[in-house]
Amino acid sequence: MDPSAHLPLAPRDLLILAVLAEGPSHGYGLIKAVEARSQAGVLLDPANLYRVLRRMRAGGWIAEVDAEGGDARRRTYDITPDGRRLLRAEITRLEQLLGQARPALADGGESS
Amino acid sequence: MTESPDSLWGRLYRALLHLLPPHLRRTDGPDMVRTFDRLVRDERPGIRRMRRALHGVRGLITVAAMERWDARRYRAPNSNRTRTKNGRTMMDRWIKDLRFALRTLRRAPAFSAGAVLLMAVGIGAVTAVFTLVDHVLLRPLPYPLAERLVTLEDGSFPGPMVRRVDEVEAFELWAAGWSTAATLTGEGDPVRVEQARVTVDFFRLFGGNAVQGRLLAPDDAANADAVVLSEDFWMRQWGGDPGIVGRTLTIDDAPVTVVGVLDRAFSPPSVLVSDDADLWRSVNWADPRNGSHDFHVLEVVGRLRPGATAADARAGVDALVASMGEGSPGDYVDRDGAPWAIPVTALQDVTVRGVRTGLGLLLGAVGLLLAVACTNVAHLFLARGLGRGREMSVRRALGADTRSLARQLTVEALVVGAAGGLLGTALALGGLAVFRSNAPAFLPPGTSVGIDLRILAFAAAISVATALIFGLLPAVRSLRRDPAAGLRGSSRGSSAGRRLGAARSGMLVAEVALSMVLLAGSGLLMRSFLTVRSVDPGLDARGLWTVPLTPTDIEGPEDYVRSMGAVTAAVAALPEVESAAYGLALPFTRTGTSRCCWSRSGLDISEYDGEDPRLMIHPVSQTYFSTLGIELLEGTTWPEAESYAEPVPAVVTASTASELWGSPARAPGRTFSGEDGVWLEVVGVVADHSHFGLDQEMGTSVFVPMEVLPFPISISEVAFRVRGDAPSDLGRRVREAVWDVAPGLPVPTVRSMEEMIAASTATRRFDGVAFTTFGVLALLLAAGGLYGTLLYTVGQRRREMGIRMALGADRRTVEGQVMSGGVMLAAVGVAVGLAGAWFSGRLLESRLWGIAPSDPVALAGAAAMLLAVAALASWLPARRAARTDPVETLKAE
Repeated sequence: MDPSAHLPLAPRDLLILAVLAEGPSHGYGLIKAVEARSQAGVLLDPANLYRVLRRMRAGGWIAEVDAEGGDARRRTYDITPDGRRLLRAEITRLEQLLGQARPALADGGESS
Repeated sequence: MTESPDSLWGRLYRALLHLLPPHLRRTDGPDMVRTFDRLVRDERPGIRRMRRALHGVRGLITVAAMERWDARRYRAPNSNRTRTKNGRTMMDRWIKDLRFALRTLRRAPAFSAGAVLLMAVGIGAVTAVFTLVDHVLLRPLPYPLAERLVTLEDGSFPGPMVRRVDEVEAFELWAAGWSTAATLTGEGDPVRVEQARVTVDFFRLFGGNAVQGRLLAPDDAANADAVVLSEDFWMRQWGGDPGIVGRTLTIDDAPVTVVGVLDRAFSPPSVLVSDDADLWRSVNWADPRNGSHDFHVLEVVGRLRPGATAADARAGVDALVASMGEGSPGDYVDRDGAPWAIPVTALQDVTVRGVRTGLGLLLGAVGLLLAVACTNVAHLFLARGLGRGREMSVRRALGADTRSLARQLTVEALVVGAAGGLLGTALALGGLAVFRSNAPAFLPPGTSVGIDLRILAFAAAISVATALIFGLLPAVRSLRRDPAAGLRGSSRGSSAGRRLGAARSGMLVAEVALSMVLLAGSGLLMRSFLTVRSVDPGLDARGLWTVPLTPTDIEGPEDYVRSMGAVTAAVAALPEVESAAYGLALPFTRTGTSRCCWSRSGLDISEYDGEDPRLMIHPVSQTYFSTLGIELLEGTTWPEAESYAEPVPAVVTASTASELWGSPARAPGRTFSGEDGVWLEVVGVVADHSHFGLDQEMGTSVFVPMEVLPFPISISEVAFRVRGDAPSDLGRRVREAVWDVAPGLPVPTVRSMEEMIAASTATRRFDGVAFTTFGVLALLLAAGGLYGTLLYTVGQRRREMGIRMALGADRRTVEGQVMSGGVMLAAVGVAVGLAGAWFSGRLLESRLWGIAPSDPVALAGAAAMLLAVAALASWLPARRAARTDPVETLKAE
């Protein structure tokens, strides 16, 4: 898979991948984690979340895994190696972009 | 909101899942509902919860639309899709219309918000109220074969008769029961518990499951020591200890054995036993009271055999009463000596009788409100359609066909309808939650109220249909009209415009009339509430407190009196207490019922030969009248004594004295035979006062010393008067004083008499407040309609007014004309509404008290209020008309 074909990622997709990169999670946990990371007050609803999850699964970025212990009825998702590559590519891209943009503020950009 | 797995929001979300394509609903649906439910429950308070829920619902609807759209697009290349001449699919066109509609609606925020809000109010109110009606009135009771359950009405029955109910052949199964207070000791502080005594077939008849052990079995008839705990009591007292079965408890100083715990989902029939029974035991037939023909406490419910009718049961009960009367002459007969006539009625009817008219009224009120809201919606669409006549003409001139115009208007109406429906659902959910916490009396206990999706669909359909019909009217009109004429005649109004103007006026009149009916209803109910509240209770409620006490350790009547006397004296000895008294029942402790009392007919009354009265006998302590502040009109009360020789002194109320002997002054010295041939002599007459409620007659009443009571009853109420303000720890101080003399006696919360009087009118207050809420909403809607229409008319007539003012018309005249036009319409509406109010007042008659259904104050008040609001709603557009600048207006032409 060529990650660059999918870049840039939507902020919501980026956050979901970032949360999954730290460990498998189910829908409720994902929403809670994403909402905690994004700016306060931003809500993610279950219907949109599962739509994104379906798309990511179809793209092979994430996979459904067996929940350890817990509730067997609740499906748990984990990031795949492809997903991890994509996440890394997007973060690298964003860092480069920031690196190019930041000097603008350093040279007295604030005086204007 | 409830904490049950199926919360109201959860159910709505689950229902909306059907919007998704089926395969997605199967795979992701359950996870989505679970996630949604947890997210919603995480949020507190209610407003954040509602925001979260609405956000979730909105997301679901959007995603459903996107998924369906995707599914269509992917399938499209293989399917036979219909192409328009432009090569776009139908779906494309609808989506385009949807976008266009959203844009148009956003550009007219006042119209969109107004229409959505109106629909939401109508849909929400109707859905919430109908859901209640459905749950309370229409669903069968939660018992097996509930449709065949009947109850014996008009009183409770003595043990010997109840033991022979088996002889009623129409019953295949029956049960009897009563509730009484009891005391649990030996488990920490003594606890006052509500004890249900039922016959052993009770649980066979009504169902119910044991969560621990078992329920009562036929063997328990002989063994009254077996006790079943309610699940709530088990949790409260023992924290759900699983080892409870087999344990020995001490109830009223006697050992009993726990055999099981009753599921909390079971809700007992309230005609039989108390809804909040803590303990369930079998009726103790060994209790001598249950062998007496005079001790009437048991209520009976039976299940009819298949094919048997209530009339068959009635015949069986009549035969039983006749046979009982033969064995025990003088009992089982009414005041005229005729055998008891006991109506047999379906249990369902008896259970909902009290709330039926109340809920019926509410349903009528919201129906009117929905009508006003729909009229207003129609109005808004019509006014908007007229305003867009020119836009329609332009678009037709540019080649748009009528079908596409109609489609676009349809989409607009549907968008407004969908938004209104969604908001209406939220309002209904909120309304139900508010209702549940404020009017528990209307809901049978244990009822969980979920929203009714069918009725939601019904109300939404009516609103959307209104929007569609009136939204499409302009398109129909534009068909008949030459586009060129539409372009030329900017705002001068055609004859078609005038016809629609008449339609609008008609709608306004209808709105005002409907509001008038609602307001008049609320005026009547509020006034009757206030009239009841202004009734003088005939006692001094200020500083008066009450507490129900259940004496224990009672050997016999003397023991009961001694024990209660000591308790009352201990309360009276508190420094802040002025005096204390007790009685079998105090005023306002058993409002709205006359089943509580000991009554007697067939008395031998001296110097009285009128119809045999049914006398209510109130055993009270010597200080009862002075403590409650009931005025003594004639004679004295009885003196303090250990026992009273015949004739026993008695006190009657003024109206009783007048009824029996002509006037209070003639009562003292008269005698009559009391219970069991004991002779009573009237020593005093007290003022009439309320006992069963401010709106209830006290009836023919006699007060006798507690010492006359022939049997001990485990109920009594203590009243005490506090000097000045009650200390905040009054309850604790009373409890300690009581425990000094009666260590095992549970002391429930003390309540002030003022609070009890207020509680006794709560239903009337609820009636009034509910009607007033809907009435004011309707008033606001009607006023909004009037305001909008006039404003629109003024806008249309700007040019005419400009010319008139340029020709020298006075501003005042213009203002007056616009205003009087509005007020005239309202006046016609009020007149029509008055006729409606006169009719609906008769429907309300049974809920009114002290005022006539055509009470002029209520009707005139409602009319005045409507006209005043109408005047204000007309004055604002009138002022705008008067401010028209003639030069500006004419320049614009």
